[in-house]
Amino acid sequence: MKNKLSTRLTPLQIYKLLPKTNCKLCGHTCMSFAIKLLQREVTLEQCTPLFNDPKYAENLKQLQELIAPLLSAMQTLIQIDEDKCIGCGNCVIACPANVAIEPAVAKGINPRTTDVVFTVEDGKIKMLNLDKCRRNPPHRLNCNICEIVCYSEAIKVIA
Amino acid sequence: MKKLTDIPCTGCSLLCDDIVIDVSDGSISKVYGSCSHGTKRFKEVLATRLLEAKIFENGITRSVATEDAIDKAVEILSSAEKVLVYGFENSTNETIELGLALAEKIGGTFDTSPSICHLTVPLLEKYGVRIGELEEILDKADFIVFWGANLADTHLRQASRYSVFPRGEIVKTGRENRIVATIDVRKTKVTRIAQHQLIVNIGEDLDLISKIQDAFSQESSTEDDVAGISQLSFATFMHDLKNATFVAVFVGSGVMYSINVDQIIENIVKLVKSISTKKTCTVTPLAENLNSMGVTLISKKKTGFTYAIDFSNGSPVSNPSVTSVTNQLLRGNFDAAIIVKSDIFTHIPRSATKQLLKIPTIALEEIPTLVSEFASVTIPVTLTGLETGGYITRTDGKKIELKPFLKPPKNMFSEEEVLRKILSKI
Ligand code: SF4
Ligand code: SF4
Ligand code: SF4
Ligand code: SF4
Repeated sequence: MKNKLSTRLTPLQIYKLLPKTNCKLCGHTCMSFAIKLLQREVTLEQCTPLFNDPKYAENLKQLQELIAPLLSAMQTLIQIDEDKCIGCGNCVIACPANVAIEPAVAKGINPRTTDVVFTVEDGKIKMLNLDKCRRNPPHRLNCNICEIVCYSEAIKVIA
Repeated sequence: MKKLTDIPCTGCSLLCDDIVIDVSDGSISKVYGSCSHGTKRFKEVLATRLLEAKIFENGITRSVATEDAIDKAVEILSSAEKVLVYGFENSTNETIELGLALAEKIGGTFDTSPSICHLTVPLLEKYGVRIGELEEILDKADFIVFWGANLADTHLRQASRYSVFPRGEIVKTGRENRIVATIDVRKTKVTRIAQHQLIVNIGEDLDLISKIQDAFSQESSTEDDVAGISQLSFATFMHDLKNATFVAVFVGSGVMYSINVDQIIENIVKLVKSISTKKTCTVTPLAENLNSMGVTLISKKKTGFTYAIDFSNGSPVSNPSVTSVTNQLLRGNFDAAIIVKSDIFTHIPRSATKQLLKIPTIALEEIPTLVSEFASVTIPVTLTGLETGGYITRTDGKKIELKPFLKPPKNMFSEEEVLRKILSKI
């Protein structure tokens, strides 16, 4: 029994619902269209067969539902209650964006640069670059790891 | 302003060695990476520290030069019949050795604040089970058990720095490849990060341990709840335990509150021993104080015992029901005490405190405490890890060298220097 930590949307989930004909009317293959859709670089309407051919109607409906949260969440907000924070570093080390920006974080080391999303300073979490959170474009991941791992419910991921 | 990197933190027995500190004009302006406990250690001790040596005599307290306070301490210790040498759980390894040497030289009793390490270390030796080293656990452990360990109150960075969240050599994705189980009598903050949250009925630890043992060795499955844990939770816990390759068990001070703590720890160690016939399985006690593990290992090595060590007959003896600090205080055995960086009043019952207040006491302290308040002689010492170096033994037995970075005040000695002076004058 492993708890799933992230409920991120995968390109495969989208691909499965596309026409999968690789007709390239959108300018891409179906798979790369799926990836770009996730990264918000294309819009669903650019896959014209999906809208024109009635046999894709059901898929279209499912796709629209699937990507709805993507479209509505324009900007990620992370609410931090500093008073509750005990500086354990769980969020800082678990955050995939932090690790990608500063690989030593993967080993449990508090970030040394100010390029990361957040860090621990004077025993408290400090937000540095919210824009690098992977909920934002281009990743648009449905991540809330930092919220899940916090001992003291000091972090809330909104949107 | 100077930026210092990789400074070991002396806030708890994890000694996180990745702290970054901004120092300007001999004071600390910012601390990066330490948890709230560590930050408090770095920033608050400087502001609240003791600065003057004091002697309390005939109802009056007077400030004295450190050397005079040391002479007075020597006078008290030399004229006493039986001395209590207490504390050291926040001292360096070098100081602990000196404390033991002092107790031996004057035929006193060496004791220290209660710790899970005192009980665990001898049992690990007895059963040939090894302590799990934190770096190895980081790299390899795919099943982590926190037993009576509320890390969120005691060892704040344990999960983020050493066990659950970092990505290891073998356990490459960190948290996603690790199963975490908490075993406790109640929900704690740590249960939040665990997949298996076993809440065991108070007093039923031994039952749980034997059921895990049975289920592990006999492939048997239980139809009933186990010690208050539902059959399903127990079965999924066992399933994951059996599938794991490296099991790291951390035992915390929560276990100490049980009446049969000795038995519980012994049975945990035996369980680990039997699991380790099929896979790697280690135990790591989570030391309550900065150097509880150091006191334990050094005492064990020098005397064969881990605490409550009496030297009055020349060779060391330990029989806690007779030689512990509380039992001897209650019998009025001591006529002087030297207490090194330890809040003894919170470790002994009130009846024993009354006895302690009747005898002359010497306190070596960094900051004001009840002990320094009531002591006959108070000797302030430099700040370990900030102003003075040396080695501290991390909770898993690894020796960590401190990197002091501040100048101590003039005319103040380190705990080690004070003890050396006392030893040479007695
Ligand atoms: S237009 Fe639609 S069907 Fe054609 S390649 Fe692009 S995604 Fe696939
Ligand atoms: S939600 Fe953003 S900040 Fe939080 S862990 Fe995920 S990527 Fe990091
Ligand atoms: S996980 Fe929570 S308590 Fe820990 S540092 Fe992050 S916000 Fe603070
Ligand atoms: S966990 Fe302990 S050693 Fe690490 S920063 Fe916190 S107090 Fe210091």
